[in-house]
Amino acid sequence: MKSNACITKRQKANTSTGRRSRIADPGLRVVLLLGLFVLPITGCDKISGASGKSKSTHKKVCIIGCDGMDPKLVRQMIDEGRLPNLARLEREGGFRPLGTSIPPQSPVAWSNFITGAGPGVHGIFDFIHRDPGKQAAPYFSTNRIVDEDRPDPIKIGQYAVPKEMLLPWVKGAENELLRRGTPFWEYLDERGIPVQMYKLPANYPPSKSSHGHACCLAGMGVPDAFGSQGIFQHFTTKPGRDSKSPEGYKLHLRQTEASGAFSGRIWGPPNEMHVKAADLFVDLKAYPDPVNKVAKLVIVNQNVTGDEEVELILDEGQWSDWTDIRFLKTPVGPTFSVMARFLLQKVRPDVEIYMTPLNFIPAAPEIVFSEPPGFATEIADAIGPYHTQGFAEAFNARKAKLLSDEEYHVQADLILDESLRMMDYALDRYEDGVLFFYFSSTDLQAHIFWWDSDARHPFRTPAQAKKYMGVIEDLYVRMDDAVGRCRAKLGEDVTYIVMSDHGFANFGRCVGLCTWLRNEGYLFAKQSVVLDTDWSKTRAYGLGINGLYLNLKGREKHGIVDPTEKDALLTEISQKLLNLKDPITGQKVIRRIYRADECYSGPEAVNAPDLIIGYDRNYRASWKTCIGEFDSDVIFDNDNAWSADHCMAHDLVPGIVFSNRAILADAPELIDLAPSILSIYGVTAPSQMTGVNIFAAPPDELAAR
Amino acid sequence: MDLVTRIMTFLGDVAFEVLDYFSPLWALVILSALTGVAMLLIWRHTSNQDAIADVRRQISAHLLASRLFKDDLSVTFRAQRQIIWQALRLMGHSIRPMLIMTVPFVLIMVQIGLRYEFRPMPVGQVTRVKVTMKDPGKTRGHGDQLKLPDGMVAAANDPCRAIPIGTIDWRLTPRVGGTHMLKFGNGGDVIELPVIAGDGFVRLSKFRGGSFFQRLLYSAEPSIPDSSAFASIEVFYPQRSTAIAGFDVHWLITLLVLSIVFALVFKPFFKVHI
Repeated sequence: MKSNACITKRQKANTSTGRRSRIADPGLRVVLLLGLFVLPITGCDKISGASGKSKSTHKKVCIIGCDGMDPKLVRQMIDEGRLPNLARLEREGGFRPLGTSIPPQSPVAWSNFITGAGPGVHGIFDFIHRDPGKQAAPYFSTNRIVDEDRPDPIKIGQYAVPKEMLLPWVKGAENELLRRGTPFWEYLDERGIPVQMYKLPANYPPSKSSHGHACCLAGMGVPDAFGSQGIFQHFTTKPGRDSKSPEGYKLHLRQTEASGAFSGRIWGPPNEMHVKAADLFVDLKAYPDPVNKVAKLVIVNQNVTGDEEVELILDEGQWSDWTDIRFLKTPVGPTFSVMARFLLQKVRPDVEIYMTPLNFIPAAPEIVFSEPPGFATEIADAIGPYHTQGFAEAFNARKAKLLSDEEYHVQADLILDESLRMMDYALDRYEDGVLFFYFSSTDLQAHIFWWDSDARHPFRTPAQAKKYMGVIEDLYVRMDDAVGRCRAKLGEDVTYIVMSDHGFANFGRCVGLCTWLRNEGYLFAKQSVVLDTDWSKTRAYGLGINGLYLNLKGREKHGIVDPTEKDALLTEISQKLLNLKDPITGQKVIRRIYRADECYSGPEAVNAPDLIIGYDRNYRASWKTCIGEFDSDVIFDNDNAWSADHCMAHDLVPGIVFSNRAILADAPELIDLAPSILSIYGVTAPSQMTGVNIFAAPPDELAAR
Repeated sequence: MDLVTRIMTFLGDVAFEVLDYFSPLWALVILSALTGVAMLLIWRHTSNQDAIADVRRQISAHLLASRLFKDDLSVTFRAQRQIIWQALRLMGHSIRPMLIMTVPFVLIMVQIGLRYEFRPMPVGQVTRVKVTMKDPGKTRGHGDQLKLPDGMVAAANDPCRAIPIGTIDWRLTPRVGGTHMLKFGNGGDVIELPVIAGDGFVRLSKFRGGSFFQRLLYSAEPSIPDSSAFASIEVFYPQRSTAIAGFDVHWLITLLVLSIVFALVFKPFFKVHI
C-alpha cells in the first residue's frame, strides 16, 4: 500500500508537464515490473519464513505407529537399557501391552485404531474377503475398483478411448474405500483441529477431509502400477522361460545379434486404451562390463516425440535411485509414467537384475493416494521421490528366493531411511494438532527375520536365526532413536503415543485349513475353493488368513447349510479344530476359535467369516489356505522366508502402547486409542466408538468390558 | 563452427567478467534487459516499421468502429474481419525480423546457458562422464584409459564399457573444487576436457564432440579431430534450477519473460512499433 501511494504522488507530480509525464511513465513501469518480478527473487526466503509458523492454538499429540512392534522384545530391551527413549516414556506415563484386533491382521487392527471400534463397525475382517453373492469370489478387503457403470470406450482401430477421457461428464472407474465407520480425525477436523498423517494404513483411497484440516498420505493398501500389492520384476540372462505370477515376474534378457546387448522388457499394467488390453512395456537393455563388476542398464522410455534412453551405471550389489519409466498408451499419447529402483545383483556369469514394483511418481502421480491430493506432491518436493506402494519391502522377491536375506535387509533399510527422512519433514512441518507417523519396517522386517526361540528354524541355522533376530533388535533401537528425535524436535509440550497394532511370533508350521475341511468332508473341490468347488455338497470353506465360512443358504449364492443347522455345524467344526494336533509335536495347533456372532457387533458383522481361527504360537494358515487352495498335508513345515507372523490367537500377539501421559488402563486395547486421542481435545467419544479413554477411564469401566 | 563458438565464447567471457560483480540472479535480470533492448533494436532495423504502424492504426480504427457501431451487425462483422486480416498482416511483417533475430538470440542463449543450465560437479559427490567411440569395436582397450587429475577419484569398478554401443562410463568424485583436466585415451589419440567442480556460476561445457546441436547448445570446447577414434565426451553435470518466490523456474523462462517485459518497457524510448 505504501509503495502504491508513493507512485500515485509521483504520477500526480508528473502530470504538470505532458512531456515529462510520458518520459517518466516508462521509468515507473520499469520499477513496478522489476518490483513485481524481481523482488520475490531476492526476498522469497524471508517472505516464506515470515509466514512460516503460526501461533499454536491446539494441543499437540504425536503418535508413532510401529507396525508389529512386540511387547515382549520391547520389555526385554528396555530392561537391558537399549531403548532409553521408550524407557523414559514408560517412566513418565506408562507402557502396556496393547490388546489387538480379532484377527490380529494389520488392515483389521489399523481399522480398529482408526475408528475406535471393532470389525463389526468398520467391516474389515481379513486381508481377503469374499462376495457371497458371487459365492466365494475373493477380493482385497480394504478397497475395490467400481466400474460397473463405466460406458464402453470408443474404438479406433486397435485402440479404445475411454469416454470419460473425452467427455468430462461421463463417470469412469472409481476406487472405493471399503472401510466403514467414521475415522477419529473427522471429529477433530470438524472442530478445526489440524491432523497430519503419514503413511496411514487401511485408508486407501484416502477418506476426504470435510473441513480441510486433515491431511493424510495413505500407506498400506496403496497399490503398485498394476493395481496389485506389489509385483516385482526380476531379469536374468540365464536361459529359460518368462513366467508371471501375482507376486512377481521372472523375466529373461536375451542377447540380440544385431546390437549385442542383452535385451528384455519391463512390463507395465494392461493398456486400458488397447482393445485387447495388451500389457504395456518398455525395452530394457543391459551391458555388463567384460572385466569389471559393473553394468550399464538402459531403459527405453516412450514418448510421443520418440524414445528416450535412461542410462544407469550400477556396481554389483548397488541399488539405483528412483528411475522414471514411461509407457506410451497409443502412438499419439497419453503416457503412463511410473518409477522403480533397480538392484544389479550379479554381473557374471549371468546378469541378474531385480526391479521393485512400479511405484507412482509422487511429484506427478497417476492416482490419488493422499488427502488433499497435493499433499503427496508437497512431500516429494521436499524429500524427493519415495515409495508410494503400501507394502514397500520386497518380501515377495525374498519369498521367491530371488533376493537373499542380506539383499532384503538392505532394501528394507532403504525404506526405513526414507521413512525417517519423511518423518523429519513431518516434524519440520508440524505446528499443532495431531501428527501420526507410521513405520512398516518393524512388521515387514520381522516377518522375514524374527525368530525368538531355540526351536529349529525352518531353513536357518541357529547361528543365522540369532544373527537375523539381531536385525530386529537393531531396528527397535532405531525406532527408539526416532522417538527421541521426535521429542528433541517437538519438545515436551506434546502428548506422545508410541503404539503398534500387534506383536510377533514364530511361524514354523503351516496349517492347511482347506485341506482339513476337505479331508473331514466339509469341502468338495479338487484344485481351489474359487475354481472348482462342488457347492451342492460343500458345507464350509476357508478363505483369507483366519476366515472360515459356512456355505449358508440364503447368504451364499449356492448355499446349502440351513440357518437352523448353523450353530450345530459351527460347534462341530470348532470342537474338531480345537482338537487338531501337530503329528510331530503332539501340540494343539489352534488355541482359540472365535465365533463372529459372539465377538463382533455392528452393522458390518453380517459380512464376517463365521469362524475366525486363532492359531497357536508357531502355527498359521498355510499360504494356499489363504487363497482357498489345497496342500498335500494338513500340518507341515513352513519353509518360506516369511518365517514369523501374527495372524494367530489375538491374546498371543498384543501390540504396545507407550505415552508420556499417565496410562490408567490396565489392559488397553487398540480401539481405546481413538477415544483417548479425542479426549485430549475434549471431544466426547461418539457412540460408534466402543473403546474407552486409557488416560482417564475408571478401572471399573475397563473391567466391565 | 569452431570459429563461431570461439568468438561467442570470448564475448560471453568478457560480458560475464563484468556481470560477475552482480549476484547470478541480478546478472540474469541485467542480461534480460540487454537482450530485450537488443531484440527491440534488431526488430526496428529489420522490420517494416511504417507497415507495422499502419497495421496497428488499422486495427485501432476497426476496433473503434466495432465499438461505435456495435448495434450495426454488418459494420461489426466487417470490422472483425478486418481486425483478423490486419492481425495476419502483422504476423506476416513479423516473420523476417523474427527469423533474423533467432540467430543472435540463440547465440546469446547458448552463452547464458553454458553458465546457467548446469551446476559444477558437486565436491564429494559422484558425477558421471561418458565417452562414446566412433567405432564400438575400439571400446575395448583404446578409449578406456582415463588419466585422472589430482583431487578426482573414480569408482572402484570403473570404467563401465558397453562394448556393443561403444560407450565407456566413469563415475568421478571430485575431492576438491576447481578446474580438473580429464585426459582420455592413450598413445597419440588423447582427448582432453576440462571439468569444473565446486559451486558458483561458471562456464560449463557438457559436451566435447557430439552432434551438431549438442556442440552448438552445450559446448564451448573445440570439436574432436576427425582422425580421433573418439566421437564425444559428455559430462552429466547436475541440472540447475533457480528458486523464484519458492518455485523452481528454469533460467530460460526467467530470461524470456524478463526480456519481453523489458522490451515492452523500453519500446517508447526507442520508438519501435511491435
